[in-house]
Amino acid sequence: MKEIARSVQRLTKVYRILLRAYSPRFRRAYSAEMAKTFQARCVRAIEERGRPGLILWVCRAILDVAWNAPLERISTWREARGAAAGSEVPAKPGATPGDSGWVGLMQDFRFVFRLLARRPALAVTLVLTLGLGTGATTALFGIMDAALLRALPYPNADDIVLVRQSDPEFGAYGFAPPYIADLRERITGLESLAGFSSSWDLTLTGLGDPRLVVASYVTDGLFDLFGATPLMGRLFDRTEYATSGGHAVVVSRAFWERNFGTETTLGAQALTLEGEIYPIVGVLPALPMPITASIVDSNGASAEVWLPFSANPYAELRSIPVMNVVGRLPDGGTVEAVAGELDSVREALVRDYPDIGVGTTLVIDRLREVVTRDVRRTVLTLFTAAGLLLLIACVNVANMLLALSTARGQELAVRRALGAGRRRIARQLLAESLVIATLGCMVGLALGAWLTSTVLRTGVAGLPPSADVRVDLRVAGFAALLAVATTVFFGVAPALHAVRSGVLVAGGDRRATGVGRRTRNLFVAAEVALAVTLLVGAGLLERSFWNLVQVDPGFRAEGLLQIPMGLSSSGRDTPGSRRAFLDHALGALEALPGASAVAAVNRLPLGGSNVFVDVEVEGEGPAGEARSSVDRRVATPGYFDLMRIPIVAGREFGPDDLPASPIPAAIVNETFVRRRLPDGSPVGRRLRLMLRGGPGPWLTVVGVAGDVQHHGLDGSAQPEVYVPYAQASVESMVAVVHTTDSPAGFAETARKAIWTLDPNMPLDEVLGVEELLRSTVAEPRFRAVVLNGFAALALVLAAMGIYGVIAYAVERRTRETGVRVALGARPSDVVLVLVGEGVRSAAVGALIGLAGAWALGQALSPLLFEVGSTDALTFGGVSALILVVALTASYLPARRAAQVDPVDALRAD
Amino acid sequence: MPLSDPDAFLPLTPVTFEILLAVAEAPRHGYDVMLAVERRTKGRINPNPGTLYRALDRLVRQGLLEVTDEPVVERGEPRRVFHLSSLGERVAAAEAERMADQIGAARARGAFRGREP
Repeated sequence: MKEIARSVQRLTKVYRILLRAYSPRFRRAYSAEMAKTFQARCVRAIEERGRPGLILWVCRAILDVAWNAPLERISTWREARGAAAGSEVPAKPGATPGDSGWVGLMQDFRFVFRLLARRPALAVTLVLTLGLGTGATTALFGIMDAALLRALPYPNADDIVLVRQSDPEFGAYGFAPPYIADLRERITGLESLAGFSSSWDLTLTGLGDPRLVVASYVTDGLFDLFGATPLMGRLFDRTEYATSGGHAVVVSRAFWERNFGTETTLGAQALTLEGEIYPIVGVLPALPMPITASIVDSNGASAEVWLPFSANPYAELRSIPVMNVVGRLPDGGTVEAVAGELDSVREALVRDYPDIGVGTTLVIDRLREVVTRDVRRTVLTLFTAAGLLLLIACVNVANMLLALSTARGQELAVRRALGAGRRRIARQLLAESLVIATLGCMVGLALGAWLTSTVLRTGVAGLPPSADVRVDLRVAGFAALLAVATTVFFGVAPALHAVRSGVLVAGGDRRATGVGRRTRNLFVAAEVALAVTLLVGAGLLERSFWNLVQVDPGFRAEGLLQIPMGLSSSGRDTPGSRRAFLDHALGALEALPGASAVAAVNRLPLGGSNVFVDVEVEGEGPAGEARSSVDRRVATPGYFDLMRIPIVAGREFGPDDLPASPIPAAIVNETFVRRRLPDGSPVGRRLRLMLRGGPGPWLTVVGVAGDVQHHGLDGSAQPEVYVPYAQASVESMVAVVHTTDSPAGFAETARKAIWTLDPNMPLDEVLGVEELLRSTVAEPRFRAVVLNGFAALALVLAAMGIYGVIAYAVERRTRETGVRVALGARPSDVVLVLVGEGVRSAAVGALIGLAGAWALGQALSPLLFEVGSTDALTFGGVSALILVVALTASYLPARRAAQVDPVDALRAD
Repeated sequence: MPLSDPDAFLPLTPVTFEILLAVAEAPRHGYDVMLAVERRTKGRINPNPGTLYRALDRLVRQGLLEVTDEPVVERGEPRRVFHLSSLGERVAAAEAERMADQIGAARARGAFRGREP
């Protein structure tokens, strides 16, 4: 509500500015009241029809000013003139208004529309060019605004900081929940400290199909810190925060409305989460939780239900860092000041709790920086690209307007001769620019809104979920400002230059002046330079994307369907019962028509989450030095065959690898062999994993598997140890089915089959492995697609610009050409002169552009995969392309010039 | 100097006539006039601020409305209050008469047609 009141106030301010269009006398008398009326009507519009009502009303009010202010000015002016002439009769409507004030401007606008109507092709090109430039920039500004500027929708979000532990191997991560009390006690430089867990999938039953809901556990003070107040009910009370296993839940408004309807009031509703009943005590408006890949174990979705941290299964453990700790800087406090304090805090912690981690340090960052870090480079790159596109569009518009003003030299000269002052002509030019800018801005806004919705559909991977991309008043204002500034600067300035530079003085001499030609050649060079920069950037990203797609992930995803299953719910408390369930489930899946093979693994490749454990190889010196982290994977027999991961030595897991087997088995990957078992045959060597409860049993390597890109296509393979599921009971597994049907079609059958075994098993993440693989390249694909689109547009605009300039030069120089041909020049000479002029400008531009591209390449280099930022192929290819385009764009009009009949040409002047 | 012959102002635009009617009922400030017009016409006439205040301004300048010198303070907001002048009264009456005459003519014609076999 407060937000609405604020926006009404802002709108009223804008309205007051618009009211300046009325005459000063009228304003003095009525503007205060009109503003109040406007405000009252805004409030009424919102009450009656909500936000759309408000928008409609604002549009109406703007049109009202646009219509009434000039009329009011005219009648005031008429009366003033009547009074000055001593006449008591108001001036007749037919009286000719002079060329001052609004009347003149209205006349100017009418004139512009007539002018544009006479040159529809030019008008459409101008408006579209401007629209493309502003549209792309607007959309990207909208995304940048959401992703970087408004990333955190909390009050005073800039003061919120994240305190983490950091070590060289794993980077920064959170704290085990009990440490919050110690941190609160010891960190003095922060006003309040609170904790929240990252997104936590909980099984929800008893409300439709069993499914996973995204939850977050919060400590006291967190809702305050994020400025959340309940719409209905209350937040957690002291006992709920404190008691072990506090049983209460707060849900989001969207969750509430989806499950209980919009009309229901909060009563005795409850949720069954993981089989336990939690009464709903409150409903919150949307509270986007700050989530990024860099915050521990996040699954990337924003929470819809919140529980007190006391209900978290790890709430009492000092060993598992599941809590993100956030705090607020006091007024005038700085991150640096708190950072200085953290070393001593850490020392005190290590004294009290030696387990807290060897080699870790405490770090503090602004939450905004952490949340936006992953997406910043992508968004800034694309915004820069959009900016370049806008610049090209501006140059093109300037070019066209300059050509227009020169072409109209005679008309303007006649008007000057008839007594129009320079100011009058400047105003006429301003009116033209404004009309074009307004139309271009409208096209740009529509395009921007469309692009934004497309982007929302495609999704910028890594965009914080709290980011709310939209085209709002600010973004629209930005677009309008851009369009107006562009056309006024590039429209009025060159035109005035043309007026001054003697075109008019010469009485409308239609031959091109040296100055105009030089300016236009400069424009061509600028356009080509910008286009080359963009094209090279796009080319680099495209090549990088192709390299990424070409990476062999180490397995074949075709026809595979993944079915993640939590095994420990529904009362399966023992490893035996979990194993039995998985066996049943795999059996049921294999029996389905369409299923050709079935296996299971604890984490699929590229799934985003991995389990690292320390490993010790037998006979490799004392523990500590020889230990290092490996990826631990748990697989069932048949997994390697199903995924088509090659076994390069030894054997796969088989039915003989049983829980009680005297020789527990392990399969290692090639990278593990290279790093840890370089000498002799790895098969038969022994190793053990350092598990949560201490060292595991000695495992014997029975086989070596090919490397798999578990951590992303652009990463390098990590050392891995696979153990058979029968010998390492874990609580969740991903069943993988190879189906001859389409994975999507098979999914429903598979779900039903599992639900006959356990009706409470949430199965929302059943999806094709190929889809998963595709989604891992979604972000590079998105970058490449957007930048390529921009580059293609840039190329078209640059080609248009070159063509326009040469065509214009040809037209201006028809007489000169005719004289040359009459004096015996061959048509090919004429073509050569003209093409030479175009290509020269383009070549100069291309050189400058290559320098720009080099700079852009440096900025892009962290986004590139196996392509140098100065990739010769890309740079060379783009240069060749732009020269071919320049050649073609100059040749076509030049050839026309050469075909001119000298007699016609001489007569043309 | 304002004209003094009421007929010189006729015919009035619907908005102007509605404004005169609204102010004839009671002196009102601008937003109040807007609400009164809207209420009486059941939303059919719903003038925008620009149209309304421009009409009010014109009527004041033509002498049909008068403005109280001192702004009335209502809920802390100073507002100008518009009254109907005697000229305004006469103009409104003349317009009403003119319209009544037209309506009478229309009725007479309708009655004539109704009697036709």
